[in-house]
Amino acid sequence: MIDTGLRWFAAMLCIAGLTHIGAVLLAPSHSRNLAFTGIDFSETDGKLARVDDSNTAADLDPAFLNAVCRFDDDTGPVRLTGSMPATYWSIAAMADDGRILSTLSREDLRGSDIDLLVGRTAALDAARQSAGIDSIETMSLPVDTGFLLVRLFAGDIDDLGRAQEAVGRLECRPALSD
Amino acid sequence: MLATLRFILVILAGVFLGLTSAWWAVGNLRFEGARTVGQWSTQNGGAKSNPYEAARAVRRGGGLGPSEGIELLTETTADNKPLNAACAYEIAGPMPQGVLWTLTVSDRSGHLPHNPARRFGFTAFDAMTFGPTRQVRISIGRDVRPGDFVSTVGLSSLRLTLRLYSPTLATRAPSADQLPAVTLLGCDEGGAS
Repeated sequence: MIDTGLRWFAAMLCIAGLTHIGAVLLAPSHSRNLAFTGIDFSETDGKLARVDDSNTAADLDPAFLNAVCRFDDDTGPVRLTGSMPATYWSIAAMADDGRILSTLSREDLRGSDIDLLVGRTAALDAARQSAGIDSIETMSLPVDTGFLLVRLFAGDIDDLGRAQEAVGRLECRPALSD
Repeated sequence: MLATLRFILVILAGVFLGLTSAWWAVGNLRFEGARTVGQWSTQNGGAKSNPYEAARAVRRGGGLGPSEGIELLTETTADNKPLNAACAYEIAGPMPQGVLWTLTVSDRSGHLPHNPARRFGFTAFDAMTFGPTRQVRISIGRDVRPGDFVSTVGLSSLRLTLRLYSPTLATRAPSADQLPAVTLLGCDEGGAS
């Protein structure tokens, strides 16, 4: 017969195990502390919001200038336009749960000008038809909400200046308002 | 009465233990099932089939995507001893050639060192290289050392993140002999465990 104390201990371990499993499995869908939760997108007015260790918990490369643009049910597909610097850069579309869904880097584009349409596949077709856009780079995603993360190499003062200029010129607006 | 009290205590202790262990396990490289290259663990920014990795990605972001490159992390030395914030280390050896790389020093939660110069690591453009194979020699620690150096003041734990920006490397990771190794230089008296 199992000692009563040992039985209580076993019960505690079972509860601990179930809590552990539940906490880990529920974290992605119930966490309120998402990587870019602290970013204020209300006053960006079509510009990208700069992110660094002061306003995000996301693990971003400090040698890069990082900026994000939000897309959701309100914005629908977004259109990112501007010109990129000659140094390394990349664009990643991320779901709210931090998964990277699609990426684009300097090697994928010819030239420095960028015109990119990002959103769910079906919505992209509607946006293209509505805005009369035929040839445009697209990021076709399986979700309606998420973030567009732009990373520009800013290893020294000169690179940082070029990256800041480029981010200042980038525009990220709802595609259907064009 | 005693049985009820014991029942409540067991539930509270179980929940506390479960939450504490979950908090500890999320972000711990050993639980993420990452592929290892020597002492470095690769991070995959795409699908998160491992629940620990998925939970980490929610808060910390997903790393680098396939057309961006590859992210390698280590929290140990080349002889598999955990990195200690009270110690000084040298990161020495080759880096993949012709690739933009950045090496970042942080704690396990991703916090950067307190550093007025905002020197959090080195990149392919500012690190000194030695010999025909252009090997790097970067030291980290609390006391300033000659050469390429990153201060770890303000960090309570250590994590090194090596990011290689190349879509080719994302599909075919470099081998261990193409990456630098981390070795212990020394520890503060009484600070090392």
